[in-house]
Amino acid sequence: MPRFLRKIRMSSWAKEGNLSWVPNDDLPADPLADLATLGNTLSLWQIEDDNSNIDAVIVALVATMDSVQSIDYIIFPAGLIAAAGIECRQTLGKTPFEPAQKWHRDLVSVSALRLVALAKDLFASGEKARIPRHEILRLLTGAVKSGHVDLDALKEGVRADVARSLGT
Amino acid sequence: MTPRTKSARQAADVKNLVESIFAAAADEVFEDGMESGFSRHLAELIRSYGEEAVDAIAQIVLNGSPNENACSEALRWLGFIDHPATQDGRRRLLEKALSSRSAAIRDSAGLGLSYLDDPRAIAHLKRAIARERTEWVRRNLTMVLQQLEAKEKCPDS
Repeated sequence: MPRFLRKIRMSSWAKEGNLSWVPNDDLPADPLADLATLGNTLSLWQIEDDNSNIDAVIVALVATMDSVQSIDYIIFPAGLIAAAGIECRQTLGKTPFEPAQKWHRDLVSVSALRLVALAKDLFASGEKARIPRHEILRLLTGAVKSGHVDLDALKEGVRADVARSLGT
Repeated sequence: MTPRTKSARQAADVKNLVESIFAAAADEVFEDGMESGFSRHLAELIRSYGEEAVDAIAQIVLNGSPNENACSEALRWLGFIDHPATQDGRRRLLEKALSSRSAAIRDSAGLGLSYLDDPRAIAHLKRAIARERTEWVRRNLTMVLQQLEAKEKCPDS
């Protein structure tokens, strides 16, 4: 079964600390900030069963950022989307890294209650991880070197970092 | 006006400026790797006022500000900003923030230190990891420690 990746801020999803104020069958509100919809649509990336495209998806993400910084993400099974009653569509990702565009997905017609249902499941069982800046820079520099990403398509801060890394 | 009075007045002005940008950031939503009005103002203040700005930021971040979100964001950008004149001051602030009561602040201090990439923080990181009881923060701080130890062994990497 495919899985999906969404960029998050790890501290918002922490289960440690005093959460006794959160009612049963509920979740803290902070994670919802990482699930902000636009036009009732939520952007995600599909991850292959063997995780073989995670690096490519990370490059796709950083290629749209203002600067190369560490990325936190959450990964979860596709079943959680269906369980929340949400429809998933394949749409080309808006990233200069073309090979990864096909892995982009939109969750569409996302209502508030469906979003909360998904968030509750993600909070309970999503796998969270961080990829550090130096590793992201290595991946992105590799993509530029191999000609898959045009340096000029990157934002100024990212372009400067990659150019330094390339020694140009 | 004596130089000391002038200096004290400027420090007060910088403190007011820093407080105002933290107050304005209360409603901002931050995303990793994306600039914000807050991050741009922080960078401008540091480039304009140097250590005075770092000191004013430290007073807010280290004194348990209720605006944890902005403090966390500030620590990340404090490590990221390219301003050699304040590097030592920013590193000391990030090292102190490793002792915060907030897990989010400790994690952001670690991220800031990873962006600063200065092996002189290694001893502070080791102590922070030894006392860290929050598993995800300890894991993230350990990644930063490994990065800085690799940098220490191979400074040109």
